[in-house]
Amino acid sequence: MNYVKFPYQPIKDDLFMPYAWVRLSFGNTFWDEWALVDSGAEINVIPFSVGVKLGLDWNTSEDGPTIGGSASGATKTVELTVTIGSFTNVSMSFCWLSHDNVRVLLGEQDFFENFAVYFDLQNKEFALFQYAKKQDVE
Amino acid sequence: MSVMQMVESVRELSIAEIEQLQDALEKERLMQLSKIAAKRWAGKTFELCFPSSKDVPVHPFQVFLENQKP
Repeated sequence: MNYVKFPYQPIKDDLFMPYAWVRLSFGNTFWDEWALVDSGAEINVIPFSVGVKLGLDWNTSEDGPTIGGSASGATKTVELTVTIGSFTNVSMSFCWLSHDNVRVLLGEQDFFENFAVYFDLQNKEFALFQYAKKQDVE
Repeated sequence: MSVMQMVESVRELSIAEIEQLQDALEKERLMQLSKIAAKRWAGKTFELCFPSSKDVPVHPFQVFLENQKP
């Protein structure tokens, strides 16, 4: 099975977190960024500034879902292509937030639906396994 | 206009114009997909469980392990 391994990233003191370095693209415009592999997030998220860097237009983008808690605010729904390690050009839906209080999150819908994730904190690494596409297994 | 007719008309374009067209087509594809996603998410509320925005990796560069190609 095709997979990529990433090291847990040191944050502070003894805290390590599963951040992956990803390339987000909208057409020919791309932005490289740390993204947290976050099973606690129901959907994928990008902060406002990342959408702007990708050339997204807030006013013409589709209205997004409601986000609860401290990240609440206006949202848009956008589709981006994502490259993670050797996995290239995977189309995923993102909720584009109207603020920068949250970093790029890879959540349950679209990300965990496409990838099985093996977290190995003791060895400070995690691995992504891409599920076969439906047409590949039919 | 059929796809073949569209391809035929593209033959008149320069490489730079074709690249502009590729960019526009890809953006249009993503916009169409975003409409589908927006319908899927319409009226829903989602929760995010995330760390402080200050908790970011200390290394500004990518570190690869095995089986990765940049």
